[in-house]
Amino acid sequence: MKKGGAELLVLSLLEARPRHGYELRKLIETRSDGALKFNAASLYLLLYRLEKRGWIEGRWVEKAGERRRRFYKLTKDGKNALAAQRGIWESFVAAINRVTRPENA
Amino acid sequence: MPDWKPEIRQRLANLQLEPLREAAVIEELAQYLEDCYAELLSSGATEAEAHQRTLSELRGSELLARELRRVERQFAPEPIALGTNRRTNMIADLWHDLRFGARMLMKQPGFTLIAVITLALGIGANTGVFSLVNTVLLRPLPIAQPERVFEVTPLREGADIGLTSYPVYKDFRDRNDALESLAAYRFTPMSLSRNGNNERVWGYLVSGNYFDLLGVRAVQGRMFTQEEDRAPGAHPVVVLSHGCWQRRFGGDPNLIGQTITINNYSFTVVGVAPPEFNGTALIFTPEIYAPLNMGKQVEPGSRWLENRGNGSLMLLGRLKPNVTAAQAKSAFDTLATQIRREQPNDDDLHFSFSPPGLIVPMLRNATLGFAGALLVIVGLVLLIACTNLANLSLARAAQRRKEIAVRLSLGATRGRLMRQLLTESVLLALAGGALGWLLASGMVGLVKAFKPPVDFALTIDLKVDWRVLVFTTLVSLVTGLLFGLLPAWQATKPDLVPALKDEAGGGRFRRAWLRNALVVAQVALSLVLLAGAGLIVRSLQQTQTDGPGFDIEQTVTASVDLDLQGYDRARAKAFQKQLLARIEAIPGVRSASLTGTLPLNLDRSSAGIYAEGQPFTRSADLPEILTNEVWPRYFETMGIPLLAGRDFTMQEDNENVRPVIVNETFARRFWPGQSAIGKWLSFSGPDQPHWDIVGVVKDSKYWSLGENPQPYVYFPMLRDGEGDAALVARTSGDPQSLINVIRHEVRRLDANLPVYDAKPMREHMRLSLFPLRAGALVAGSFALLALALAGLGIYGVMSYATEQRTRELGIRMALGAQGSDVLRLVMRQGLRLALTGLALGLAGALAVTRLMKSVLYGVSATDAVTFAGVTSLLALIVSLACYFPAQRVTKIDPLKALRHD
Repeated sequence: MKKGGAELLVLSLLEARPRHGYELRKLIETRSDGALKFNAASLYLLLYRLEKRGWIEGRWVEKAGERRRRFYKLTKDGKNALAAQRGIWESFVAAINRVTRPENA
Repeated sequence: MPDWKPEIRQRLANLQLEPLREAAVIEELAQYLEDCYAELLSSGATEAEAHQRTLSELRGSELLARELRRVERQFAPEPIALGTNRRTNMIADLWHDLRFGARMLMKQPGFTLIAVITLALGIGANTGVFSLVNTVLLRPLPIAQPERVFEVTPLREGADIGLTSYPVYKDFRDRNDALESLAAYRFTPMSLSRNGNNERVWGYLVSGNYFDLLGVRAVQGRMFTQEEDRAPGAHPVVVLSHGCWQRRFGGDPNLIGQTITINNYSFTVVGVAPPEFNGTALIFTPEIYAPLNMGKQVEPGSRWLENRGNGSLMLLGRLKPNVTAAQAKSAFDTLATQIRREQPNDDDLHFSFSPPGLIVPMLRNATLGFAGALLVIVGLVLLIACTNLANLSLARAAQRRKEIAVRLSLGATRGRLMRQLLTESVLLALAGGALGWLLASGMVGLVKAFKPPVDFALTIDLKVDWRVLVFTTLVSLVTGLLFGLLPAWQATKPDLVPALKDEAGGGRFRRAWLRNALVVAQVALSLVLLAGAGLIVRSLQQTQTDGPGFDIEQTVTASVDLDLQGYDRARAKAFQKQLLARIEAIPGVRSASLTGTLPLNLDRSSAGIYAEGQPFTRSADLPEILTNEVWPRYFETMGIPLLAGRDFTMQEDNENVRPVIVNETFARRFWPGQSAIGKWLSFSGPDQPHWDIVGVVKDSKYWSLGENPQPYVYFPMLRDGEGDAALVARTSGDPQSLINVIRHEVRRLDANLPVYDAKPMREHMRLSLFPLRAGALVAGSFALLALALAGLGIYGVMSYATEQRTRELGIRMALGAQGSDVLRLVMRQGLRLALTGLALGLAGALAVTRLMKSVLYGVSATDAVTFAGVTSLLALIVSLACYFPAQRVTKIDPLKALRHD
């Protein structure tokens, strides 16, 4: 679950715009208020896997005055996968909620 | 900021990735770590803390490594040396380089194919020519210790015939002390009778010590003994060549001791020569060897056995053990001076000692010149091919810049990388060499099958032997190093940062000069070659235009050798008169005549001639003039105009008259401004019988088509008779059918008389045109090859150059430049190179063609038409080669061009 969740995280973060590795890690950390933390090895493990699957695409980009960085963006397949995964997650969460909702009288 | 890469590399050990990919991963992770570290620092951590926490980011990287390995396995499965500095095993390195190089070449099949073919053509051409040179010049004769044997040639200024007379030979043989032995030989036609048929074959007359000197032993029977050559006519023995023994006698083992009939005389066969021995000259391969003293039987009517003044023999000498050729030469010269004191009429002789088995001295210089020119030509072609390849390699190396840069940054030494790049080019070269070897063998096969238009056998035993193999391998290796070195050097010192940043190379201009220089060199070399070939072709044209000076369309020739058949002078004359009468009676025949020597044949006779009124010192100083005997109506038949006086008549058939006819150069030389009619000339001096000049004819070509006008004297054949004569006849009908009729008429008169060399005069001309034709063909083909290579080379370079500038050109077009503007821009760059090349080539060609002067005929070495022609041709090809890539560029969508990197 954690694995599935992580993928969903990354994919949805990339939905807005392409980002690079460190940026992703920071976003995840801040938006989860420190609850979720990735280190380099695990993050890139994920990223490379996603890239291999064709859901994200990595590209070197060079901005004026900066070193070049590798940015990842969502592919079409990745968008579809994101939608699907979101669907699954939501139904999963809904199901859990239904189960764990305090019993009503 | 600490360097994170070593740590990363360590954790991600043994990834087995392609270097670029691996470097990318490492770089990405390194950046991440840098960002992490920087952030930690800015949020207040100490350096040590930040460092430690950053490193903790790499925990669990074994999983990552494993994943990467799995993920990336479709890439190169073999470990690729990332350029470690460890000194590993050289052989393992080499082996690895070879495999890697081969793989890299396979990845670009287009480049590899073009490269191998280019190399094959260049190396193959060189190998082929070298085989020829090897056979003709280098390979020693199959005799014992060939380096101790020399051809001893007497030199006499003015005449380079280099033959010695038999009495003179005997003097030198008996009185010199520098040589172990001195042998003599000459080649001559013999009439061999088998089964009632006579056939004309070529053979040698050799001195008794000939085979001993050479160390050639019989494979059947024995060779001659010295005894058998002592007295004239005493020992009618022969040795057969192996080929003759096999072909004509079926290899009959019982032949030894039996007799065969030569010139109606019985000779006993005493031995058979070994199969690899084919005489001691490249032309006139002998089938039969007879002792010199049987000369009168083999050549009836000949006088060279007694005649001291007429050169007739070629000499071979074997040095004594501690004597050098130079010492022998000076010993001979000294002896010559001595002998001349006793025989004041002898020529003033000097001797040259040269390696035997070449060609007869009169052809030696021409052959050496031809071979030398050939080698230069193919060398140039190979050079052009190398230049081509160097350029291609440069372009390719530039494409691999990134890969190279990465490897350099990962620690590879420059030497190691260069070694690896060089291995690739050597691999290419060896592949090209192998293919070229095949091409050369095919070429050699073609040459072997080609029969030059001569009636004697040639021993050009073209074999592709070990010497040629060594040559080819060496040339391939050198070629590979040559065209690989420069690009390897260049490519391994790029600026690392631009390469890693994937830029289009800031050092572009710096590197381009090398490429451009190569292109200029190619164009220049091609122009030189084209100019040389063009001049040769023009010479050929000129000889065709100028013509030989006699008619070749409606004349035919046929030869009968009455001497060989045993006719005496009187009977021969009667036969000839009858034959001519019959021939002239044939409808369509305008006239017929006889000549002792056909013009433009490989034989000639000359004599020292004294002309009336000239100063005289002694006969040895007289000018050597070419002579011939002809029957009446010869000039009419051959279409040589009579300028003054008259032709010979049939009444001059007696010893009381001495008419002679000269050509206009003779008349002009000795009696300028006067009529030569009525003057006289003589042999050897003014006190010899006078020959009266009765006619003057126009000049024609006598010895070679390329000769300058020379004096010539015609003697009346009718007076003294000549058994070995060529019939010439002029017809208004079809020359070929006349030949058949001639054969028929000869057979009617004498059924056993062989007719040889019967052909239309046009065909006879093939012999004399042969060197020029062959030269034009060879030079022309190589020049065209060079042209193709140069065109390809320029096209390749221009394509690459324009591709490099795609972004820049795209910008220009986006900013409003028209396609034609861009085209002009690109063409200008290319044409500038081309013009430089043409200019240099022109200068080079002018310098080089001057060396060709002796080969040319009728055109100067700086002939304007030729130079203009080839320059225009090359300019056209080069312009086209620039145009097409430039055209392609204008079609690019500017947006795509901008994105191109």
